[in-house]
Amino acid sequence: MTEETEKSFRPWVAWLIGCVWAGIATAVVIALLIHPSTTANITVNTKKIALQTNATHLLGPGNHDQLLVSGINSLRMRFGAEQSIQVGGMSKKLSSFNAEGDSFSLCSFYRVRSGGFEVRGPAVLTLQMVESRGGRSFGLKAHGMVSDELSSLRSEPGRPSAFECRNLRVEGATVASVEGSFYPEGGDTVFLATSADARLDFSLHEHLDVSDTQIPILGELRFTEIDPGGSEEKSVLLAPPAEITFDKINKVVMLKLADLLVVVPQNDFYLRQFTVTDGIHLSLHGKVRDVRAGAGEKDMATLMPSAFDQAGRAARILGAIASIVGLFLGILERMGLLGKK
Amino acid sequence: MSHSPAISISLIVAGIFLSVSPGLHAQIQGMQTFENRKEGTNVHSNAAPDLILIAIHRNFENFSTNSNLHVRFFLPAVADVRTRKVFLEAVELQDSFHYFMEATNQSTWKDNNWNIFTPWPTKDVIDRLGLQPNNIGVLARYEVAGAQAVYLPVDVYQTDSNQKTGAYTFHFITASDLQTLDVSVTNERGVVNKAPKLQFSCNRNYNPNCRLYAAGSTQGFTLDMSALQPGEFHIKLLGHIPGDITPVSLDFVIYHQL
Repeated sequence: MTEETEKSFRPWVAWLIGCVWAGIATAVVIALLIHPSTTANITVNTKKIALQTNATHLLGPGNHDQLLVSGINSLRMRFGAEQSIQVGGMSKKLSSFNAEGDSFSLCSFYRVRSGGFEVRGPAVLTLQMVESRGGRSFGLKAHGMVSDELSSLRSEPGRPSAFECRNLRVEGATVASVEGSFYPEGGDTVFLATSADARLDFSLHEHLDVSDTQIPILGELRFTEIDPGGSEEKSVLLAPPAEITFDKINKVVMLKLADLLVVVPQNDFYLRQFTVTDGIHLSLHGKVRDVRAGAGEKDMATLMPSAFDQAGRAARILGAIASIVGLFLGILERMGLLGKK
Repeated sequence: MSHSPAISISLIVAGIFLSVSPGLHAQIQGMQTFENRKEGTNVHSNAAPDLILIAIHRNFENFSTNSNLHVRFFLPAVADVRTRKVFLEAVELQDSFHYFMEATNQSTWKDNNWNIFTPWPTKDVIDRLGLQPNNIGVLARYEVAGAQAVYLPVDVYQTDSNQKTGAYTFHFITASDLQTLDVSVTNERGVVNKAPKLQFSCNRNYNPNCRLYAAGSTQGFTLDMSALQPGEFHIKLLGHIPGDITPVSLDFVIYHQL
């Protein structure tokens, strides 16, 4: 054997080193390309959010100057004393009032306190802040039945506690309108249950107490709305910019204000809290399958950390050790120090 | 060559990883194409102007799951058939899933005749989304170049009860809070005898800033036009926003046929 032959790599060593390096390179490339589910903490201020949930209770107790409910299925009112109620234009003295309705039935309750809404079964909820010429208002759409118990507040001069409804069925007959005042001292009770598609609207003219915590989220969240002139999705994000923190690697991503944002939960994903002020402030947390953002629908890219980012220190050290071992083997072989038969 | 199977397996594994990764994030949503329509969930515009019409029903019969729906509407004759386009669309009245359906076969519509759109099986999309019959709105209209769209009230049914009525239910979305809403009907000349007129308002004694309808909500009203002769009529909606003297309005044309 010549010296040159002795210093050349034996095939099995060359293959071993090649495989180690190729394996590591492949693992790194794959790890960079895949984005496994991870836990994210998301804070965002938005005009609108639609979510699928199995929450059983929605919105905490609060006082409302006007609560508008569309899609009333059942209405039960109990008055502290007989009240004069206009039923289809006819005045009646009643101490209680029952009515049924459908998706076109509509009631406004003035100066009432809500105990919060019970949700019967899984529902799709849309929370929406509407800016219009009349000012700002907050609405909650529910695809799923909800119910609530209201109690009337004490009437104030020029601001009675009252109600008015349209398109209800009273004793089997449809009446165009029903309206009346609650007992001035307050304390009258109203039970209402909605049809499968209902909408609740809250006035934002005065102090508003609309908030909730710990709402499980079952489906995708899209922070977008539709461009009225076409079919392009537009951002609904408001200032301050949305912030996404991936807990495991403590990676923080700040979005641009006009970005589109889509969050795809994996499991155990919650709306930790929402409050309504200058927008709907959301705090979300849980395991996500994907978080995408971008300047437009076709520019959306994942913000998820890659498997490489998420790989623990031990995995990286192991990879580095394997690379060094491969390199070391090569050097030993080259120097002829690796044992030979 | 003895190592090539290992490399091949590695490449296959890597390939599988790379191909599965984006698939995991793919959206299971969108429009599906059927023989006579496109149907599914999509992004579609709503609540763009102050008031927007989303459905006009003459009869809308309740239906159960796994039904095959029919939509019937009268299409009047027009002078310029070549430029006329007929649209038949369905949406959720209260939008939760962005449901949308549009009929695609233009050539089947017959002039000066009652037209029936079918099949529209609910099992394809409606049942799968869990949509309720009373939350579906259907809107038919035709457009001729250079003229205002003409809306055509529809009957929606599974089994035709042949109920003919001139009372129509209109569904619209308001982009603003409304305190009052007036609905009036006029003919081409701006007048109609026996014209139905509707007025809705909330009680300002209860709250000076009371809202009859909330911004962004879908509302409906029924207008009985049975006393009117068949033909085109203008329907005008005039609404007032709380605390704002400038009204919002919507004027549209419908073809009334008994």
